[in-house]
Amino acid sequence: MEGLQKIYFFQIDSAGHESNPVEIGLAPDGSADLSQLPPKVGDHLRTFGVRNFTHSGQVTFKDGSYFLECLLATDNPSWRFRSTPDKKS
Amino acid sequence: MEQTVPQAFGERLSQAESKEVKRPEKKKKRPETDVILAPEEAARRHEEARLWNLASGIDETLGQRAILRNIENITSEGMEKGRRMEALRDCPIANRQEVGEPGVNTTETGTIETKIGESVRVFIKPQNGELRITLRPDQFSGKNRAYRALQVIGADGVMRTEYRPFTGRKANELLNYLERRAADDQLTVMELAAHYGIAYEESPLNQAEIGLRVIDAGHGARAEYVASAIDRLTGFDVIPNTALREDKGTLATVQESAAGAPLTYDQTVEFVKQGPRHSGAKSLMRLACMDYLLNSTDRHMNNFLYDPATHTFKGIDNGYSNGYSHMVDVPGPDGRNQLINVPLDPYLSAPMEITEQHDDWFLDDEAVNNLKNLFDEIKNYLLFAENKLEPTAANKLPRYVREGMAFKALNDIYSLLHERTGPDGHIKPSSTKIASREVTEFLRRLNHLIVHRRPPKLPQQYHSRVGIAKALGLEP
Repeated sequence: MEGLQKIYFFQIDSAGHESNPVEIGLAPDGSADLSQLPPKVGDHLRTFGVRNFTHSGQVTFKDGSYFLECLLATDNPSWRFRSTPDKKS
Repeated sequence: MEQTVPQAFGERLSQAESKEVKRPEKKKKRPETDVILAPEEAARRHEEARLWNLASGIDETLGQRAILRNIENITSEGMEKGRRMEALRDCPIANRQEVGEPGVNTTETGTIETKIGESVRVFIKPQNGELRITLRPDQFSGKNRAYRALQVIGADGVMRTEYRPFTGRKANELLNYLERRAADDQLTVMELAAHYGIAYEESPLNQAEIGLRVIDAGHGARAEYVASAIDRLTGFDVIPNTALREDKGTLATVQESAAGAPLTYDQTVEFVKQGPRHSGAKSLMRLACMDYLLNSTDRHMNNFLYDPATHTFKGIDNGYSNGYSHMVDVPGPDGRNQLINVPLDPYLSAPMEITEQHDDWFLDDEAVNNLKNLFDEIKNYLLFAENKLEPTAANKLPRYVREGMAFKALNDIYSLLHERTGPDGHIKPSSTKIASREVTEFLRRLNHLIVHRRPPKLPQQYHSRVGIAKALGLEP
């Protein structure tokens, strides 16, 4: 299967420390599996998706691998996504 | 009563002479002269030094204005803000870490220690981290492909461009986007020239490297900084403090980390249902109004944070705000068509979309008064500078009005955004025209908020709504 198969989510606390990584992979139907994410984060991403690469629309978890790629391009004081599980702080 | 904004307000602002101009004395950053540089690199460093100087001047002016306006009541909040801005601009950054995916997300995080020993978390975004895309022929097939143009600073300190091809679905999406843009580009260049009163050849768009908005290269860092500066000018407190400074050989923004997180489904439903009765309604409307003032084109649901502890919002990722604009015909409140100024790329603001769900949701009194005071400051300064005030009235003007601090700051803010240096090393007159026009349009938007206390409800083609009601399942 082409494209990203999994990425890792890190929650950031007020001191800037990353939580242990949470894996986001693909479900059998090809959609992104958000079930391991903290409820509020999964809830937000499931409802609103993430901005696509040309910033012209939203991508949903049903877009699977492409959704994971778009998540990697985001940044947020509260969350972080990377393609490796190594904590940085 | 509606106050009018004269047609050539921007031009008058740029031409008026202040009687008591006092620029803060500050050590100026000069481009390095002890090495022989290629012309492009020398020009880049000269331009970055110019922007650094402008931003430093703006910060000083805004800080002085804040102190003078509160001369009898210097708030600890105001002092703290000044201290934070100084630290963001001048203090060393420790504990640096790359954020996100290497090679994809160029943001770093770090900490800054202020003069009183507080540790502030910051995000550092280099100017050269902006996503620029270009079409180039593939070296093997000869067919055009979309490439990411990366500005990389080598070990010799010189910035060069590297091109990395996009692959997969991103590549297809970008190719489609570029083809659509190519079809519209000619029209956009002509429209820009006509709107700003400049020659077609002077149009600022760089056709060789296309951004994801109708803005030119290097805009992102300027826009991020300007969003914070305008937030300080209005006192809305919905944009995190942001400084523009040199970092690792290039300009970067250093932004204070904001508390909070993107709205959850449940939180958004509550805001849509409760509207102006929600505890966070005041801050959300301030952010909606700020998006209108800033011509925000990228305030999607992941780009603003809500802190339930303080019921406040902060808008992040403002790099796609304050781009070029144009005039369009839209129905006014009375149903008749009116010509208004909107950004070339459509507005995109989830706060504007949420707040327009309720007709009784307005900007709070304190914020409206801030805008009225700002408008009056600038108006009275112009009258004073043009000797149109009676002596008794002129003598009653506070020092920060007589010195035109708000006016100077606003002009410098839009100069920093839009003025460009030409190959001869001087500011291009066409870019000054653009900056002046954008000041006028900003003041018109300010005026709209004073009168109507909320942003206009624009047709979908000028406000590309995220579709919140549908996302929440609230559509009938």
